[in-house]
Amino acid sequence: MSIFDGFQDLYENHNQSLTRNDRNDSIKKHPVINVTRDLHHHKISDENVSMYINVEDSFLKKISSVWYNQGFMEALSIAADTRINRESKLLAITASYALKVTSIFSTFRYFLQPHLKDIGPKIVSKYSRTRNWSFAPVKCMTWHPYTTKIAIATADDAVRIYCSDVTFVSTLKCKAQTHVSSVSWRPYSASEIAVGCEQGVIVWTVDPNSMFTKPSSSNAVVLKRSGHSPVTDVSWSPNGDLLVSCCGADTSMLVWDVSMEVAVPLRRVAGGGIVFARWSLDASKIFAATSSLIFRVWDTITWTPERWCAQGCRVVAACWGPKDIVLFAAKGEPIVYALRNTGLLNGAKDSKAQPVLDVTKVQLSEQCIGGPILDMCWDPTGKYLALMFEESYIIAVFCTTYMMMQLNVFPCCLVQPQDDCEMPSTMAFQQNFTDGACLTIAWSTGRVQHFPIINNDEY
Amino acid sequence: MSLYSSLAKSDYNMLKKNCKNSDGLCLNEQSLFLQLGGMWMGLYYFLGAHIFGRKILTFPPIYQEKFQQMKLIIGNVVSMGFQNSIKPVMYYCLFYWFWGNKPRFVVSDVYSLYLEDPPLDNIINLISSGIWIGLWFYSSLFFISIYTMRAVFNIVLTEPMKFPIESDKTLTLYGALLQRAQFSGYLGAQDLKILAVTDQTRRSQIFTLSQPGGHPRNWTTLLENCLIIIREFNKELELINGEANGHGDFSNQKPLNPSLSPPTVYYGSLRNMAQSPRSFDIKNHYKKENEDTLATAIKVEFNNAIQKICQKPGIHYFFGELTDIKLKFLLMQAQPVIWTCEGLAHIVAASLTEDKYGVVQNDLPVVLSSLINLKNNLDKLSKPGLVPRKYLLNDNLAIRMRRAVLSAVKQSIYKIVMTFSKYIHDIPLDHEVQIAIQPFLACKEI
Repeated sequence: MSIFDGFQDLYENHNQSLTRNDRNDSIKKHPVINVTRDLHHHKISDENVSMYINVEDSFLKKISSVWYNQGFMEALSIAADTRINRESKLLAITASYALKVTSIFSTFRYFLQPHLKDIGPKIVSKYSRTRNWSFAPVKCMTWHPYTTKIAIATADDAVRIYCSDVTFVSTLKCKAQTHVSSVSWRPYSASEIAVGCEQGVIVWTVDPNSMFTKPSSSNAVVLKRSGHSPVTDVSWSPNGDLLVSCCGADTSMLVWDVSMEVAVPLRRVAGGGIVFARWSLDASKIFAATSSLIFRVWDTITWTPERWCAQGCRVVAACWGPKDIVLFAAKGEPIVYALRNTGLLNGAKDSKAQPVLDVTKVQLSEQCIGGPILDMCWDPTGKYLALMFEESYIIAVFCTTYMMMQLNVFPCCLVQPQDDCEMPSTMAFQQNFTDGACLTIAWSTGRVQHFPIINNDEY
Repeated sequence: MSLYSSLAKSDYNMLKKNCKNSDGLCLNEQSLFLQLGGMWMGLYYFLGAHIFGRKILTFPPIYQEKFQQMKLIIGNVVSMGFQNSIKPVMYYCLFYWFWGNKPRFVVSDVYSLYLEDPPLDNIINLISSGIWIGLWFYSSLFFISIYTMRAVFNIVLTEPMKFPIESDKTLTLYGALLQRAQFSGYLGAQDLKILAVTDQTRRSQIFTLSQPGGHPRNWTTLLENCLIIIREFNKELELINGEANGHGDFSNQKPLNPSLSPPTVYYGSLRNMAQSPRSFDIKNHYKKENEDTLATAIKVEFNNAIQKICQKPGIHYFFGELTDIKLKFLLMQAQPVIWTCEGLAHIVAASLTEDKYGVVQNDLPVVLSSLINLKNNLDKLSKPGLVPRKYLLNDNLAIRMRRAVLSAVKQSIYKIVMTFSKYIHDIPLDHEVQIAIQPFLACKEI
């Protein structure tokens, strides 16, 4: 019997309950967000280069411009290309030999470190928990821990901050901020936000009292380190003092002291690049998933890891709940596992993660639901768990209770796309919602929906 | 240098060698080159590290096991050693090219040796002899060993130490905090932070009452010491701020600030919970007036006189303390203040759930007001209009440090205010403090 059977009657009354929820007072003040194409800033990318007419430059000029824009290797390959380089044969031959030598070196390097093969945005989109990261209008989003304020990274690489108190929207944008993969608000602060992007981490200070909609880049601190690019995930410690940044192409995860701009790398043998890291709610543990089967649970007092091995595939999503339970899901698997009391908390160590939820794909009326898990969110009180699936466009929300050392999961509700062409891109729970939980979902059309779940005594 | 070269089996070890063409001893110039090079490297390192450089012990944000840290450092140390030795080798080769004949003459005169090889102060001979590669290699080894020594020293020194809360024999936590000038002050402050964040058993020890008597002795002493650290830092900052603002107006330079929160209210050896702290204050006050003897009066007069002399423009220029240097110095020593603030905030925040006897609650206003005071003073430092251009910091490290202190203080205030947000109106706070925490309550403070 599938867990989705419980959804059957919920599903039939679904539309009514949704409209009832939407009229709820608790989200009346929430910012209305719709990320549309014309909102975007003009962005020079490969797509709109084709708009310009091709001009025949002199060869030297062409090479120097390519060198300046795309780097030395591209310039070398241009020089080696005899179709473009008709003028000097000698240069072409030298360049082609140089290319061969470098390619031998790079193949050797990729042989040693295969995870480095992908470049920048490819790595991010491969490991991102956002559906279709490279084309989604909303790349990632996060709620402020104490106020009704949400930061949304949009496709034009800007981070927009929507707030319930003010009508204007602050747009954070600077030249270094490209391919934004994650955003994170600093706890115990009203203004600091860390943005993980291609070059490294940018920590913005956004004055909540200021009326400037575009803060200058002097408010930003860029934290970067060679070999640590592109950053695939950033997360602040719940105490607000340390920032962890991960990079899919780097085997070490960096722990930053942001104001001093110092980083300490945490590294252990085995496992590929660190894809993402999650702090436990009391900051005593960090869950770090690598791009291979291995994941680690770090202890933040001694800074030693406990190594775990997933069975089928790499861990795709994880979230911490109260009492140091961590839920995680492997890529391509419809099962949520729970890991409790990691380490020797009460003498006996769990040698295996317990499967707590099986969401194998089922057909419900005319739509299918379930399947491999793409993303997972647990609300800050640990009562509601939202799952996003790879193949189905319906988001399932479950109620979770923790009783007698046992985690129980019941179906709660489903969130359906408005029409057929809509897919959920990413989602996040509001952090300061007092009446229950509020799930915010960014859809592929650019619509951002607030979905409140009000506590009642039923569960 | 000769130690390293002696490890390698080569003929560079001896200054003399037998001549090939004639009888007698000849000068082994390559050996001389290496020996002098070794001296130069030592001098170069000494000058770089101790005269022109600064020695600041930086604590890593997190402390890993020593072995792990060494593993991380070792690659860096080796590559740094090879890179950093290129420059001095080049300087030395240049020097030898220009003046190399002089030491050679001196040595060959003293030992009455002949020279048969082509002289090394010719650039072609120098390069073709390949001795510079040897020099580079040996000096890299020298740098690597010195860097490794420093790294190990750093790792061992910055290891967090656990101080007990109550102990008769060893140094206790507040004892360590009290030794601000010494290194244990740093360790104490670091331990305070670690304790406040992670160690619940020792935290609960702080919240206990003494047996017999029922006084919150642990907490009071701890708080007292923390406040001393914060207030002293604050006082120094106020001095600098006062100087910066009153610059050019010498009559306004009485630096001591009366706005410091009541000085020694809780400094009595222990606080009786039933008794009003004010009476202590009054007692102390009377005592102090009696102590105003002739000696102190003379001291004050003397200090005033010195200050007056120093304020004469010329003398002040040469002998007066430079405010920006002073500020830099102050900020470099701010690390314990950061830890103290954070630790105090964490303990206070934890007290909401863990403090059974309400030990901490009474002191909330004092903690908050001193933190707010510190924040105000730090804000003044960074406001561009208030501080004359001369006092703006141009030092990168100092700027970062200032940012670190400011953010730590703000985070601490946020931490306390957020935790007690429901009860904040029940806390008897001064009007000014109450106004100051409003933006923190509304999450509007930057």
